[in-house]
Amino acid sequence: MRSLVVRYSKAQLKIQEMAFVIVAIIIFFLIAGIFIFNIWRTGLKKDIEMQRIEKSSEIALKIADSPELGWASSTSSCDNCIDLDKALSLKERISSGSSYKDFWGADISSIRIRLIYPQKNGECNKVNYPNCKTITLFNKTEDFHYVGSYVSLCRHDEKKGGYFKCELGKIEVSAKGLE
Amino acid sequence: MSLNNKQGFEFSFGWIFALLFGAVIIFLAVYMAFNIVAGERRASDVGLTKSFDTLLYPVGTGLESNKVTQITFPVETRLMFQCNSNGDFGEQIIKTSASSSLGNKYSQNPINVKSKDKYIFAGSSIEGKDFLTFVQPLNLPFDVADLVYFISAKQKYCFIVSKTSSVGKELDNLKKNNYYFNKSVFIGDLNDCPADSNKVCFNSGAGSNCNISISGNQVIKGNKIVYFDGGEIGNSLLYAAVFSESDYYECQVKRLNKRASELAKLYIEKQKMSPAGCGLGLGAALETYANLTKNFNNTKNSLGDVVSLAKEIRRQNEELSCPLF
Repeated sequence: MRSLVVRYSKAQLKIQEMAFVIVAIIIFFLIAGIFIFNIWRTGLKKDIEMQRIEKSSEIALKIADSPELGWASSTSSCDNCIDLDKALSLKERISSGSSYKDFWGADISSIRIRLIYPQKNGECNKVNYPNCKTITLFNKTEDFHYVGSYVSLCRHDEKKGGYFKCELGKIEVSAKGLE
Repeated sequence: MSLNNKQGFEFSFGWIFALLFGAVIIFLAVYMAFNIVAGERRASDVGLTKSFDTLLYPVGTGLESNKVTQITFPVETRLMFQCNSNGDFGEQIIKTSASSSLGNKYSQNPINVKSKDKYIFAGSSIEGKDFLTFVQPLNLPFDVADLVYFISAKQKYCFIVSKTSSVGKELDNLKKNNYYFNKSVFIGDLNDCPADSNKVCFNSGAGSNCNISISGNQVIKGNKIVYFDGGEIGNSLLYAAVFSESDYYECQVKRLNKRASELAKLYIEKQKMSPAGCGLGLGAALETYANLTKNFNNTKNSLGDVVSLAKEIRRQNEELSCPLF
């Protein structure tokens, strides 16, 4: 039986050698590229999350002072004071289809106002208001983490001849990406 | 490769392979480098726009009202403002592009950030490193929104108005608390205005050397006229018309009216469910106001009616023992 012997010329060997080196270099750069891209993406993700948290805290204050919630009369105004009557009206408007859900940004998934002191219980509605604890303006998702600010919750109380009554509360905002 | 053969060049397979492969590698490297730079630039612009958007929150909450706030970007930046009046609230569109020494100075198509609760009045595209901003609330008849005015520190405005007038007093107060604003905004005589400034003339007729003329309730810019109301509601719309372009101003005022309409509906709801019976008797007027502002057309045809009804609602509200707002 005659054996087949393949003979390579010197030039062919060099081409093969070069081809292997080039392939190896490409593979090396690809792996390095993927590694660098992953590090960059992780950094970017963290930056975005930090920005969202910062933005949520700012938004909580902004919303508290917005004309939709802020407590103000024609003669005076109050920083970080929420008009509780307006808050419940806004909740009703949103539940009846007003587009306030996306007004403060599509990233905002939930806004709620909680009475801290005096202690009361339950979600507010037209029947139990003002003897209730929480007004959830809207709630797009169940998966959230709240960031908030302390505020005064004010309303006109008809007792004792009628006066403005303010209590301690908190406005809380949840945004996509907060953990 | 051999040059000895006079019939032509002789390329060995090794050379052809190396040249082709080398060209492909160099092309890919250059392509990737350009893509990475473009991507980084885009990511940086998005970050910048988001930061700028967040930065405007304290400005817009009234915490910094009656005061000029200076915003300094790390590099020369182009800010673009657009307005969309569609939908229940319309949209404020903000685009930022940081200058770069690679390729075009500014990105041709920067990513935009949209917000429904901001009302920025500025030129459609302004450039610079330092920007100046101040805020005025719009009460029509209740607090509708904070109007944010934005100019580049490079821009100059000269108001030909007496320092004792309401506009003169307001601007003079703002000038006193910011060095850059003092260098950008001038109050006084037309002859004292810097040559490169936008000259804002009051009640002196259109034309001559004025870039912007204010006559009665009209603001005339070139061949375009927009309207404001400088009475009880203050000078917020006057500044808005001066610092922004006519079409943009009309769009933003339309957006403000849409918000006023939603707020009126909110106050109607509050009046209906208020346990203390606040705002009794205001319902019908608020209903009319909500419809009027929702169907706001332009400042020429609609603003006068909106303002006069707003004044009437304010008067009625102030007479109540438990006012609605």
